[in-house]
Amino acid sequence: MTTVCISDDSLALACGADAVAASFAAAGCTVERVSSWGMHWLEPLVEIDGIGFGPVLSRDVPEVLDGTSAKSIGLIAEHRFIARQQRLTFARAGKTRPLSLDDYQATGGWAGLTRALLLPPEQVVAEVLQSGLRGRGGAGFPAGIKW
Amino acid sequence: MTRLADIIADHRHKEGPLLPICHDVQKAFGCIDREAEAEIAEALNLSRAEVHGVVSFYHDFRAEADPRPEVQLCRAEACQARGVEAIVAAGEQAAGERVRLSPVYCLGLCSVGPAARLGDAVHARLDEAALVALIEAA
Repeated sequence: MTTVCISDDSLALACGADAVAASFAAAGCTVERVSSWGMHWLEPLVEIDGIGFGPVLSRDVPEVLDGTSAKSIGLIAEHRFIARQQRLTFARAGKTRPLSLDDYQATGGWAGLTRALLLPPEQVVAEVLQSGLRGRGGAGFPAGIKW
Repeated sequence: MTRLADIIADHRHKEGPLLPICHDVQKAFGCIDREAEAEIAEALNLSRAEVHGVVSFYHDFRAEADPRPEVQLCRAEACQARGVEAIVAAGEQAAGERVRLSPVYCLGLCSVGPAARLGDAVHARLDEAALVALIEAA
Protein backbone atom coordinates (compact mmCIF):
# COMPACT_ATOMS: atom_id res chain seq x y z
CA MET A 1 0.00 0.00 0.00
CA THR A 2 1.29 3.44 -0.89
CA THR A 3 2.21 5.71 2.01
CA VAL A 4 1.58 9.39 1.37
CA CYS A 5 2.96 12.19 3.57
CA ILE A 6 0.98 15.45 3.70
CA SER A 7 1.54 18.34 6.09
CA ASP A 8 -1.13 19.21 8.62
CA ASP A 9 0.30 22.51 9.79
CA SER A 10 -2.14 25.40 9.70
CA LEU A 11 -0.79 26.84 6.46
CA ALA A 12 -1.15 23.51 4.65
CA LEU A 13 -4.68 23.18 6.06
CA ALA A 14 -5.53 26.69 4.84
CA CYS A 15 -4.37 25.58 1.38
CA GLY A 16 -6.71 22.57 1.45
CA ALA A 17 -4.48 19.75 2.74
CA ASP A 18 -7.31 17.95 4.56
CA ALA A 19 -9.35 17.48 1.38
CA VAL A 20 -6.28 16.19 -0.47
CA ALA A 21 -5.46 13.81 2.40
CA ALA A 22 -9.04 12.50 2.33
CA SER A 23 -8.79 11.90 -1.42
CA PHE A 24 -5.60 9.85 -1.03
CA ALA A 25 -7.19 7.87 1.81
CA ALA A 26 -10.23 7.22 -0.38
CA ALA A 27 -7.88 5.95 -3.09
CA GLY A 28 -6.57 3.34 -0.63
CA CYS A 29 -3.37 5.05 0.47
CA THR A 30 -1.96 5.23 3.99
CA VAL A 31 -1.77 8.93 4.80
CA GLU A 32 0.76 10.26 7.33
CA ARG A 33 0.28 13.86 8.48
CA VAL A 34 3.71 15.42 8.91
CA SER A 35 5.09 18.91 9.39
CA SER A 36 5.72 21.23 6.45
CA TRP A 37 9.02 21.48 4.56
CA GLY A 38 8.32 25.22 4.45
CA MET A 39 7.88 25.42 0.67
CA HIS A 40 4.62 27.29 1.00
CA TRP A 41 4.09 27.82 -2.71
CA LEU A 42 3.97 24.03 -3.11
CA GLU A 43 1.42 23.36 -0.33
CA PRO A 44 -0.43 21.08 -0.20
CA LEU A 45 2.83 19.23 -0.86
CA VAL A 46 2.49 15.48 -1.17
CA GLU A 47 5.47 13.16 -0.63
CA ILE A 48 5.63 9.57 -1.82
CA ASP A 49 8.92 7.68 -1.35
CA GLY A 50 10.85 10.94 -1.17
CA ILE A 51 9.31 12.34 -4.37
CA GLY A 52 7.33 15.56 -3.97
CA PHE A 53 4.22 16.76 -5.79
CA GLY A 54 2.72 20.17 -5.35
CA PRO A 55 0.56 22.07 -5.07
CA VAL A 56 -1.80 19.07 -5.19
CA LEU A 57 -5.56 19.31 -5.53
CA SER A 58 -7.94 16.38 -5.06
CA ARG A 59 -8.37 16.11 -8.83
CA ASP A 60 -4.61 15.53 -9.19
CA VAL A 61 -4.67 12.38 -7.05
CA PRO A 62 -4.99 9.77 -9.86
CA GLU A 63 -2.08 11.24 -11.84
CA VAL A 64 0.09 11.52 -8.72
CA LEU A 65 -0.55 7.85 -7.97
CA ASP A 66 0.09 6.58 -11.52
CA GLY A 67 3.28 8.62 -11.81
CA THR A 68 2.17 10.88 -14.69
CA SER A 69 1.56 14.06 -12.70
CA ALA A 70 3.16 17.20 -14.08
CA LYS A 71 3.25 18.49 -10.50
CA SER A 72 6.19 16.26 -9.58
CA ILE A 73 9.16 18.22 -8.22
CA GLY A 74 11.44 15.17 -8.03
CA LEU A 75 13.23 14.19 -4.85
CA ILE A 76 12.40 16.78 -2.21
CA ALA A 77 15.81 16.44 -0.56
CA GLU A 78 17.41 17.42 -3.88
CA HIS A 79 15.04 20.31 -4.61
CA ARG A 80 17.06 23.47 -5.13
CA PHE A 81 15.24 25.25 -2.30
CA ILE A 82 16.13 22.46 0.14
CA ALA A 83 19.46 21.12 -1.12
CA ARG A 84 21.47 24.26 -0.32
CA GLN A 85 20.08 24.66 3.18
CA GLN A 86 21.76 23.41 6.31
CA ARG A 87 18.89 22.82 8.69
CA LEU A 88 19.59 22.49 12.40
CA THR A 89 16.63 23.45 14.55
CA PHE A 90 14.40 22.82 11.53
CA ALA A 91 16.08 19.52 10.62
CA ARG A 92 12.87 17.54 11.22
CA ALA A 93 10.63 19.90 9.23
CA GLY A 94 8.71 17.95 6.63
CA LYS A 95 10.02 14.63 7.89
CA THR A 96 8.23 13.85 11.15
CA ARG A 97 4.83 14.08 12.76
CA PRO A 98 5.29 17.17 14.92
CA LEU A 99 3.40 15.84 17.94
CA SER A 100 4.94 12.36 17.83
CA LEU A 101 7.48 11.69 20.57
CA ASP A 102 8.31 8.40 18.80
CA ASP A 103 9.27 10.32 15.66
CA TYR A 104 11.28 12.74 17.78
CA GLN A 105 13.15 9.90 19.45
CA ALA A 106 13.75 8.11 16.15
CA THR A 107 15.43 11.22 14.74
CA GLY A 108 17.87 11.80 17.59
CA GLY A 109 15.50 13.37 20.09
CA TRP A 110 16.34 13.28 23.82
CA ALA A 111 20.03 12.63 23.10
CA GLY A 112 21.15 15.91 24.68
CA LEU A 113 18.85 15.52 27.67
CA THR A 114 19.95 11.92 28.20
CA ARG A 115 23.59 12.96 28.22
CA ALA A 116 22.93 15.98 30.45
CA LEU A 117 21.33 13.72 33.06
CA LEU A 118 24.50 11.61 33.18
CA LEU A 119 26.80 14.60 33.76
CA PRO A 120 27.41 16.39 37.07
CA PRO A 121 25.70 19.81 37.19
CA GLU A 122 28.99 21.74 37.08
CA GLN A 123 29.94 20.06 33.81
CA VAL A 124 26.49 20.77 32.28
CA VAL A 125 26.93 24.44 33.15
CA ALA A 126 30.49 24.43 31.80
CA GLU A 127 29.33 22.96 28.48
CA VAL A 128 26.43 25.40 28.17
CA LEU A 129 28.88 28.22 28.78
CA GLN A 130 31.36 26.81 26.27
CA SER A 131 28.61 26.33 23.66
CA GLY A 132 28.06 30.10 23.52
CA LEU A 133 24.30 29.67 24.06
CA ARG A 134 22.80 33.07 24.81
CA GLY A 135 19.44 34.43 25.89
CA ARG A 136 17.22 35.84 23.15
CA GLY A 137 15.77 38.67 25.22
CA GLY A 138 17.96 41.28 23.57
CA ALA A 139 20.88 41.52 25.98
CA GLY A 140 22.37 38.25 24.76
CA PHE A 141 23.27 37.17 28.27
CA PRO A 142 25.28 33.92 28.31
CA ALA A 143 22.93 31.13 29.45
CA GLY A 144 25.73 29.30 31.27
CA ILE A 145 26.28 32.19 33.70
CA LYS A 146 22.59 32.35 34.52
CA TRP A 147 22.46 28.62 35.22
CA MET B 1 -27.08 35.59 36.39
CA THR B 2 -26.29 32.33 38.15
CA ARG B 3 -24.29 31.11 35.19
CA LEU B 4 -21.99 34.10 35.39
CA ALA B 5 -21.50 33.40 39.11
CA ASP B 6 -20.69 29.77 38.27
CA ILE B 7 -18.10 30.82 35.71
CA ILE B 8 -16.46 33.18 38.18
CA ALA B 9 -16.47 30.49 40.87
CA ASP B 10 -14.78 28.07 38.43
CA HIS B 11 -11.77 30.34 37.98
CA ARG B 12 -11.47 32.79 40.86
CA HIS B 13 -9.01 30.62 42.82
CA LYS B 14 -6.56 30.60 39.90
CA GLU B 15 -3.56 32.81 39.45
CA GLY B 16 -4.60 35.29 36.74
CA PRO B 17 -8.30 34.39 36.66
CA LEU B 18 -9.53 37.37 34.61
CA LEU B 19 -8.80 36.09 31.09
CA PRO B 20 -10.12 32.56 31.68
CA ILE B 21 -13.31 34.11 33.09
CA CYS B 22 -13.62 36.47 30.10
CA HIS B 23 -13.19 33.58 27.66
CA ASP B 24 -15.91 31.52 29.33
CA VAL B 25 -18.30 34.47 29.68
CA GLN B 26 -17.84 35.40 26.00
CA LYS B 27 -18.45 31.78 25.04
CA ALA B 28 -21.53 31.38 27.24
CA PHE B 29 -23.25 34.71 26.54
CA GLY B 30 -21.76 35.82 23.23
CA CYS B 31 -20.59 39.02 24.90
CA ILE B 32 -19.18 40.55 28.07
CA ASP B 33 -21.54 43.44 28.81
CA ARG B 34 -21.19 46.20 31.40
CA GLU B 35 -23.13 44.24 34.02
CA ALA B 36 -20.86 41.24 33.59
CA GLU B 37 -17.81 43.49 33.79
CA ALA B 38 -19.06 44.92 37.08
CA GLU B 39 -19.77 41.49 38.53
CA ILE B 40 -16.34 40.17 37.49
CA ALA B 41 -14.65 43.27 38.92
CA GLU B 42 -16.46 42.85 42.24
CA ALA B 43 -15.55 39.17 42.49
CA LEU B 44 -11.87 39.68 41.66
CA ASN B 45 -11.47 42.86 43.71
CA LEU B 46 -10.57 44.85 40.59
CA SER B 47 -11.93 48.17 39.43
CA ARG B 48 -14.52 48.13 36.66
CA ALA B 49 -12.10 50.22 34.62
CA GLU B 50 -9.47 47.49 34.84
CA VAL B 51 -11.89 44.81 33.67
CA HIS B 52 -13.27 47.06 30.94
CA GLY B 53 -9.73 47.80 29.81
CA VAL B 54 -9.04 44.11 29.30
CA VAL B 55 -12.40 43.38 27.67
CA SER B 56 -12.15 46.30 25.25
CA PHE B 57 -8.51 45.57 24.40
CA TYR B 58 -9.21 42.17 22.85
CA HIS B 59 -11.38 42.30 19.73
CA ASP B 60 -12.70 38.79 20.30
CA PHE B 61 -14.42 39.98 23.48
CA ARG B 62 -17.59 41.80 22.50
CA ALA B 63 -19.67 44.32 24.45
CA GLU B 64 -22.87 43.22 22.72
CA ALA B 65 -23.84 39.78 21.43
CA ASP B 66 -23.99 39.38 17.67
CA PRO B 67 -25.50 36.08 16.57
CA ARG B 68 -24.39 36.42 12.96
CA PRO B 69 -21.63 34.15 11.67
CA GLU B 70 -18.31 35.96 11.34
CA VAL B 71 -15.76 35.78 8.55
CA GLN B 72 -12.47 37.50 9.36
CA LEU B 73 -10.63 38.70 6.28
CA CYS B 74 -6.96 39.60 6.68
CA ARG B 75 -6.25 43.16 5.57
CA ALA B 76 -2.63 43.36 6.76
CA GLU B 77 0.35 44.28 4.59
CA ALA B 78 1.18 40.91 3.05
CA CYS B 79 -2.42 40.14 2.12
CA GLN B 80 -2.72 43.65 0.68
CA ALA B 81 0.38 43.00 -1.39
CA ARG B 82 -1.24 39.81 -2.62
CA GLY B 83 -4.42 41.58 -3.66
CA VAL B 84 -6.96 41.40 -0.83
CA GLU B 85 -8.23 44.95 -1.37
CA ALA B 86 -9.49 43.99 -4.84
CA ILE B 87 -11.81 41.31 -3.46
CA VAL B 88 -13.18 43.16 -0.42
CA ALA B 89 -16.13 44.72 -2.27
CA ALA B 90 -17.35 41.36 -3.55
CA GLY B 91 -17.00 39.97 -0.04
CA GLU B 92 -19.02 42.79 1.49
CA GLN B 93 -21.73 42.30 -1.12
CA ALA B 94 -21.88 38.55 -0.43
CA ALA B 95 -21.94 39.15 3.33
CA GLY B 96 -24.76 41.70 3.26
CA GLU B 97 -26.48 41.91 6.63
CA ARG B 98 -26.39 38.15 7.23
CA VAL B 99 -22.66 37.66 7.80
CA ARG B 100 -20.30 39.85 9.79
CA LEU B 101 -17.26 40.41 7.57
CA SER B 102 -14.52 41.75 9.84
CA PRO B 103 -11.02 42.93 9.11
CA VAL B 104 -8.26 41.12 10.96
CA TYR B 105 -4.60 42.03 11.06
CA CYS B 106 -2.60 38.92 10.26
CA LEU B 107 -3.58 35.29 10.41
CA GLY B 108 0.02 34.19 9.94
CA LEU B 109 -0.59 33.09 6.36
CA CYS B 110 1.41 35.88 4.73
CA SER B 111 2.99 33.71 2.04
CA VAL B 112 -0.35 32.36 0.80
CA GLY B 113 -2.73 35.31 1.23
CA PRO B 114 -5.31 36.65 0.81
CA ALA B 115 -6.40 34.71 3.88
CA ALA B 116 -9.58 34.49 5.92
CA ARG B 117 -10.89 32.68 8.96
CA LEU B 118 -14.30 31.16 9.60
CA GLY B 119 -14.67 29.57 13.03
CA ASP B 120 -11.56 27.54 13.70
CA ALA B 121 -10.68 27.03 10.03
CA VAL B 122 -8.34 29.24 8.03
CA HIS B 123 -8.49 29.60 4.25
CA ALA B 124 -5.69 30.78 1.98
CA ARG B 125 -5.12 31.88 -1.63
CA LEU B 126 -8.57 33.45 -1.77
CA ASP B 127 -9.75 34.96 -4.98
CA GLU B 128 -13.10 36.68 -5.36
CA ALA B 129 -14.99 33.45 -6.07
CA ALA B 130 -13.39 31.58 -3.15
CA LEU B 131 -14.13 34.43 -0.72
CA VAL B 132 -17.75 34.68 -1.87
CA ALA B 133 -18.14 30.88 -1.55
CA LEU B 134 -16.66 30.98 1.97
CA ILE B 135 -19.03 33.77 3.04
CA GLU B 136 -22.04 32.05 1.52
CA ALA B 137 -21.14 28.86 3.40
CA ALA B 138 -20.82 30.73 6.72
